[in-house]
Amino acid sequence: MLIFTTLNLNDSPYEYNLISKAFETYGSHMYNLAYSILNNHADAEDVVQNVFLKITENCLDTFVSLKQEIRIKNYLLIATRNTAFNLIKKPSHAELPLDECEAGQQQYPSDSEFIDMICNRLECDKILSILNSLSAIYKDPLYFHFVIGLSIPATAATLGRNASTVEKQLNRGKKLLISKMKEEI
Amino acid sequence: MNKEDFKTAFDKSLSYDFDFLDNMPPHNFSSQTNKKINKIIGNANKKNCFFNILVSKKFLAAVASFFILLICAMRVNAISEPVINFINNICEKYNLITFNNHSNINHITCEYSLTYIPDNFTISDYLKLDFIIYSKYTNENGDIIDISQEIIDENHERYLDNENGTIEIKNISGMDILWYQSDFCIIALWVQDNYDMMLSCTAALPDAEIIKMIESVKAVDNGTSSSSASTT
Repeated sequence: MLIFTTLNLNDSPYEYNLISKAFETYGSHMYNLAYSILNNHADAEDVVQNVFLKITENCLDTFVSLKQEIRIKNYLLIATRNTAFNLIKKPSHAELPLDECEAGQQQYPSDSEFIDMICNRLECDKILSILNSLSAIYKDPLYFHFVIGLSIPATAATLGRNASTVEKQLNRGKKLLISKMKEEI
Repeated sequence: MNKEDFKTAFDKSLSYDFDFLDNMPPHNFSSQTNKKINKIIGNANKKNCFFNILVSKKFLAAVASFFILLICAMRVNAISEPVINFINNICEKYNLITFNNHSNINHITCEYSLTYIPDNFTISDYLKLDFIIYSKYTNENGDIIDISQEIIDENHERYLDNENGTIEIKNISGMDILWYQSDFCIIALWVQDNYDMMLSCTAALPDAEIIKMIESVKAVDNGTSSSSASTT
């Protein structure tokens, strides 16, 4: 599918090969997903380009450190879905400064406390059913932050959301998961 | 369960969302797109090598902080529109529901609840957090009626699958209701005060019953808010 005419693959570093491989393997999936949302060939191809642009600009180190195929695939497809939806959405509002979020007003567990609470109290099958019931609003940022290991700004850049919004969604997602977990126990 | 099990469960949960893509035909990208993507990857590679050699991460962080401060200083706050309503974006497989304004509240100040429930349904689950209130009613056949109330803020959105059902907008008691109907369930979505309300029902009830439930939604706490019919 790809013809590399101007770059010598043999001399390319690991990152280059890995991203090229990701495009070859999942490019069609990404296109089909974007097309299913946008119903426009050119826009769908643009979305695929933009996803790779965002990765190379914001999260290259994290992306190349992903080992499992399923994680690479999920990463690309979540980024594609959000980028496509952002294209058809309203122009976003100006970003709120981080301190105007919910900081100080409500108590949320830290990331490590959250992981400990989930892992110590739940079995795998239970967490799967809880995650399946979670809305994409919270699921996508939680996945990027806790599974892929992206920082809040990198998660925000990948999803095309504001950092303050992502921080808020992460806090709410954690709270929602913990509440659902308490119901399950 | 350990941390890696948690991540694996998350991987599985997300891959369900994308299963349908495995059966779709491969796409041949246009030569223009191929060139652009090669360029993106090539540029990243060059940039990476250059930065690794010439500048330290600390220096980059300092430069980035400076630009963030500069951008923050230049920012002008957006003017909020007074009307809150939803926008139904129709895609091939999804409808994306976005909201054209968000409220500035961080927690639910007024709880809305169903005051009419069809016979034989009883409450089986109730969850109240600062940003969501969720109630679930079930009957002896395992049918489910649930209603959620969520605050609307930036990036609040919902996806509805439009492949397996129909979506229309109904006007009920002066409210615009997004009405999704499939063989398995009915979902009604509307905006009430500052909240995104969603009622779903898996029982084979007549539409009139669903409408009756929507009309019965009323404020139940604080005594600050009025009846269900007040909306956009």
